[in-house]
Amino acid sequence: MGRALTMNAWPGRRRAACGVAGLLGLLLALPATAAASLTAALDPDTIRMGETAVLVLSFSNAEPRAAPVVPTPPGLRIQFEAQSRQFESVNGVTTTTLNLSYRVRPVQAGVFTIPAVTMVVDGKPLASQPLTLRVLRADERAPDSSPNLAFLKLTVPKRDVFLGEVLTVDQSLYLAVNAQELQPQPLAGDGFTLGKVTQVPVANAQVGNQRYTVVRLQGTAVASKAGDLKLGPAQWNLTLKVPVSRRARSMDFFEDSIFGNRVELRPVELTSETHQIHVRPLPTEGRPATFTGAVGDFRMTATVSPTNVAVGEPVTLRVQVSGRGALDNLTLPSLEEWREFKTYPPTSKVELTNTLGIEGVKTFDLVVVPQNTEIKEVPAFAFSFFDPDKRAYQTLKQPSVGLIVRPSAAVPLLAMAPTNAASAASSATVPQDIVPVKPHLGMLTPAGAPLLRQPWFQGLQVAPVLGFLWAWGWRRRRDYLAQNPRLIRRQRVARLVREGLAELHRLAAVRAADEFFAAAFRLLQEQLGERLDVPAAAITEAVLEERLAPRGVSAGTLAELHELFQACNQARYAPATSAQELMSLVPRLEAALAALARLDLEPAA
Amino acid sequence: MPRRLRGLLFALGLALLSASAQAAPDTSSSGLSKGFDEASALFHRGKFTEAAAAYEQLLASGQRSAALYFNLGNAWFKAGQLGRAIASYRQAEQLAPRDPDVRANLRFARNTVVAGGPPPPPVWRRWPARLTVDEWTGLAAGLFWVCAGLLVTGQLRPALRLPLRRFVVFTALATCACGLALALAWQERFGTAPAIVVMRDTVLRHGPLDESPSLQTLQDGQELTVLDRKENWLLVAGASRGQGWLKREQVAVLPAE
Repeated sequence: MGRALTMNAWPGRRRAACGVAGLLGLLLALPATAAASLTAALDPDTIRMGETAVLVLSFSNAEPRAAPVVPTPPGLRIQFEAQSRQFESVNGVTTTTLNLSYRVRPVQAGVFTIPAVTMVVDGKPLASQPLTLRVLRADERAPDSSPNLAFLKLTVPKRDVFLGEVLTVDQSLYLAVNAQELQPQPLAGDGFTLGKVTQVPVANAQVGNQRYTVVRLQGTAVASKAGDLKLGPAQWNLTLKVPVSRRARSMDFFEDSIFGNRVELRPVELTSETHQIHVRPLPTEGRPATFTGAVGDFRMTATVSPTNVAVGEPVTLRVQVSGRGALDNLTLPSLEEWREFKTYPPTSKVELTNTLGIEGVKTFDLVVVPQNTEIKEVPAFAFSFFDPDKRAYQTLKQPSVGLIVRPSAAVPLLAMAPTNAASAASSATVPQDIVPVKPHLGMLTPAGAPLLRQPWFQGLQVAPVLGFLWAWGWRRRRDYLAQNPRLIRRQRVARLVREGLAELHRLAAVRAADEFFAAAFRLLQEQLGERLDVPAAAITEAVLEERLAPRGVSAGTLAELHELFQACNQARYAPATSAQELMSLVPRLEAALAALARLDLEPAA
Repeated sequence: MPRRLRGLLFALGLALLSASAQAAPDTSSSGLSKGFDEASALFHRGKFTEAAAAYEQLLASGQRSAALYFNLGNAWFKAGQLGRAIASYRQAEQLAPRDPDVRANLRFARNTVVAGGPPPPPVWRRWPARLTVDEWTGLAAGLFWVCAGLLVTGQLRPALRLPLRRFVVFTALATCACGLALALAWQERFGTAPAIVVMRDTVLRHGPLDESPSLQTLQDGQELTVLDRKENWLLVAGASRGQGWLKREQVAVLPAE
């Protein structure tokens, strides 16, 4: 059950939601409407006796339930005559106007004031302004009414300006009747630079009794020289469509208006007043060094990117100056002081935020190229301008920005200043000139053959080869010796014998008989032990017969060895021996050792 | 053994010491430095031709440096002599191949001759050009010595032979790679004879005669390769219409030492 109720409840809610949404959509779709108002107009405001005037009460965005009663001053008769509606939509703003026409008939000549008409419409009190009607006698000459039909005003906000200050100039054409062929002439302004002119939307204005349609042109003027200058007059050529009163109608010079009313086409040339403008020169006192002629009210922001570059890579300093002033003529101060950077002329673009071109943002892109790795920051940057409202110079400062400059990579050093914003990125690495000359001579090298052709170098490269070959041979020999202990012993004994014989000569010379014979005996032991491959300590004289004789050693050699052994043994007991005797033994010992070394003996089993 | 080894090492040390002393650059020439500054002053005063002559006079002394050739190239460039500027920059590049200033100016000068510059060489030619021939030689020789030293150590100390094996292999491969790069750099430097046109409207002819028909008119700064010589004429390649002959004085031939 509950489920069914819920299901039944949803369609109702949905319909209600759809209804609310539709209503909201309808409300949103409705065009915006202006506020309610009541105005009164009298046409014409001067009549002769016997003529009538028309009083029109216009209810804008208001709907009275009945025609209001107009207070009638004595001497006039005012009678409701007709009503009409106008529907107007300008830039989405809709205005619905109900016009109530009253016929005004004079009873007597004179000047009459029609009081204000008050009325409450939809709970809001509305009131018109009082009007004045001049009633002439029938034979009285009417004043020229053309100045009242249209006139031109030239408006400037101030008459005392500074050189370079932007002045807003307003030309307002007041039209009481319709007009055509509006041709504004160039504004006269010797000493002024005139900016572009834009049209302001048409508006209505009340001047005296008359309601005017105001056509406005706005422009700018910048004084280019100091002194008292004249601005204006403004001139317009136009053709007025003047409604013709019934008395003045004739068959010629008239045409029918769109609605069938007869109008007179009246070409007129309207001229405004001339303004005297006092233009002051910019003060020289307190003028900052960074002032480049900017006059107005500005703000500045700046960014630096990238902040980590190699030497020669471009860094873009983007400066945005926003505010009010002659943005097109704005320039930045020179960067000549940035000696460690290569700088290029900045590129700029202006983005305007108003139609007169005096408010917006001007963006400068400055490309600077760091020239060395000592740079640690992008220096502080300042922009100065003269504020005419404060009558003083103002300086905007951008603090220094840290910058990391790495050693140069193998890329082109120079970067050109891009010619426009669109090509800035693509042309950032295209150089425009060569890198300047180097200040230092650098490392000098003698002109000559390359290293590889230098004989000393070539010879030097043989050394590693020779060194390796020597080490290889040494290793091989060492390995070989490690596998032949007898050879090692033979070499050791040979060296021992060589050194021992020299020692014997010395001992003989000093008559050291004991040492002499001990050394001689040891040499014999070593040599025989090596030959027989037995320990040297095991060698005695008996070995001669036991080991040498069976191996075919000659009898002479054996005898000599016997004698040497016996001489050594005898010396132990009778050491007194002369130096000559000792010396005589050395050659014999040397010969015996040499003979033993030459013996080819098989090692003992 | 150790005594002989010490003797051998001492002899090798002496040889290396004398070699390094012979290869050490002479940087104490104050006269050259003064002349360099004077030539640079001429350049800054806008006397580019005089500055180029002054730089060349310094080169005639037998000493050279990358900065000297670089500044000479700048002087010729500012004097409107594109070909001589390119020749100087190329000689500076041979001495300092990694100098970004040299490379930037050489590229700029080449771009001035031909929009966009000449096509970049292939990678196998660019890579060896990062070092000079002498630098490749020193690097290869150093690695060779290290490799040989490791081998010798392995022979003297067999226990270290196995741990050193990977280092031996690495240094041997590195030595081979550097040797290959050295060979390529050597071929690039000495295997060809580059010639740069130094005169405007140089006429390339079919034969080595003034009467020979014209093959093509070459721009100042166009880079060619010398294939043959005949008296005062050079047979060159690299022009868009093929090989042709031109006079020796119409080009700057880079010295192949």
